[in-house]
Amino acid sequence: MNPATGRYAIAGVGALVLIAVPFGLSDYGLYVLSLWALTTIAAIGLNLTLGYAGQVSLGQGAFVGVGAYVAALLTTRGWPLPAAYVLAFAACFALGWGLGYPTLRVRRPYFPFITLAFGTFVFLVFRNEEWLTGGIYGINRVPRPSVLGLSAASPLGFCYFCLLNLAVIAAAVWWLRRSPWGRAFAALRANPLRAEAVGIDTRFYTLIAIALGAGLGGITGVLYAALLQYVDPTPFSLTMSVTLLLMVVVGGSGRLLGPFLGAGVAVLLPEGLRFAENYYLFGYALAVIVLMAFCPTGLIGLGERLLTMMAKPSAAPVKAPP
Amino acid sequence: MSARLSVHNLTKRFGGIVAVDGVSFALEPGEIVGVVGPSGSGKSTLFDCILGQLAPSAGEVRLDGRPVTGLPAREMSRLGLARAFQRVQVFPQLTVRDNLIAAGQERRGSLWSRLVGPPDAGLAATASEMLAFFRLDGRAEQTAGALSESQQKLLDIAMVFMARPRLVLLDEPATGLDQAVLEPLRERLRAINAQAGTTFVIIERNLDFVTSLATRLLVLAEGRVVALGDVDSVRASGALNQTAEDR
Repeated sequence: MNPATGRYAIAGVGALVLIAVPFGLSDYGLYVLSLWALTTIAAIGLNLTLGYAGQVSLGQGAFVGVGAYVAALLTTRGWPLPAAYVLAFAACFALGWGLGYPTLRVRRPYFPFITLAFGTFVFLVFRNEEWLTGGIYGINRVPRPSVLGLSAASPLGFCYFCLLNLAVIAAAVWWLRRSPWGRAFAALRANPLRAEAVGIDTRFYTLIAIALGAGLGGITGVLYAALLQYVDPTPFSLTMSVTLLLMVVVGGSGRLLGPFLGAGVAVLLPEGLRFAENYYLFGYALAVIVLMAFCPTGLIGLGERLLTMMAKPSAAPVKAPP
Repeated sequence: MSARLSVHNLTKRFGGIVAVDGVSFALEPGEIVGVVGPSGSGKSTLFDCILGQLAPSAGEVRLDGRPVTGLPAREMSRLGLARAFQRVQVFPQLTVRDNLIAAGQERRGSLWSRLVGPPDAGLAATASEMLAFFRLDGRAEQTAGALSESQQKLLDIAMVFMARPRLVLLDEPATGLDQAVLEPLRERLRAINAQAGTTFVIIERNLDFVTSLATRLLVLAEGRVVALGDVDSVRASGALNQTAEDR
């Protein structure tokens, strides 16, 4: 089986598993799976920013927050969910572009600082601008959507809705990766000097990757608001941004499947390791340090390395006859 | 008809150091001009200033009569100017074929068509042609980082021609290539020059290589032009002696 066929087979099996698994889950299991799906979308977005454009963002949690509040404000006032989608994506896209533009005019890596400041600012707006956001009390009764006349209000329905969103977004990013745009992203990340010399507008491609990444953060926010049916400022602090960043790095930045694995480690694994209580976090931190020291390409890179080793076992040294 | 490339009084200072000092020359379409000179004579800085990778301190660059001084490198690429660097500059994580397509795709169609159009940007045939031309066809699906140094050098040079440039600047193309590769490379550059009428400026330490290709030579020393003319007259002037000693 050639590598491409293998990848399609893995994607197909993964899709079938995701279709089948929700039927056997409790409401809490469906909640965790939905949370994994929407967290993966945010991580896919951050993967565009970090893995494709090479910019470290500490503001992805803030983009998720903007999306969540846009959805909560609009849908509780009777706006349809598609409008919330479009506006949340557009608002976050514009914010991402606006944050990236000034930082790319200078060569120094200011983007992490700008996004850190943006995240803090957005958090303060959520918490203090009570007239708009409800302050620390947040916004209640965010409705869940109906899709083609089918209600996604039940945990099972909403879980499938999240998985559908994930499938569409993953397919779109797969398309983007294999297009000439994807090649331009890879080229500017690998060698910006040569990329510019062959006519690739490195600033434009970096900005579009940042803005698309932020826009996907906004989409995640829309789903997050509908999942909890409630938004308040607490989840959208710096912790969410750092957690998302770790997911991308642990999974394998710049790799299509990296965010899926990274989100799995951060969202699903703790559920399986509840018996370890807080020791899980120690283990997680240690695993990240070890992974970064010995395999900076993340879990995907580690998997590929193991597969290569298995495919080409190094020849054992032959002892000379006595 | 205006010159393909004209450089007038180009100067580049780094603080108190004058790396390029009032260099002027003009190239006719289809010419091959060799740029030679000892280390530190300003050859690569001259290329950087012509191509917009460094902003010149003074002077003017014109491409087909159009002023292009200080335009960013990507704009120069769109105007039909291409460059290979002194050190190999490929995209190591991309396959050899993708390196070639990446080098040509930005001159194909619009930004939108590059998003929704075919993944190869319609360059699959050109890439295959270039792979065969530079004898890299057996390596097409390997990552560029996995190639040997001399194969990377050939890929680096092949990438230059993907966008069908009008003017090509090669910075020490013979460096790191053994004799077995040099001769075919020379023939390929000659063929491209003859078939497509591409104009070349070639910085080279290997005098045998450059003098066998070039129609004219430009000799630089301490950032200044010390000789400019056809190969025989420059050789006769003794201007190449300093360069030869430096080697």
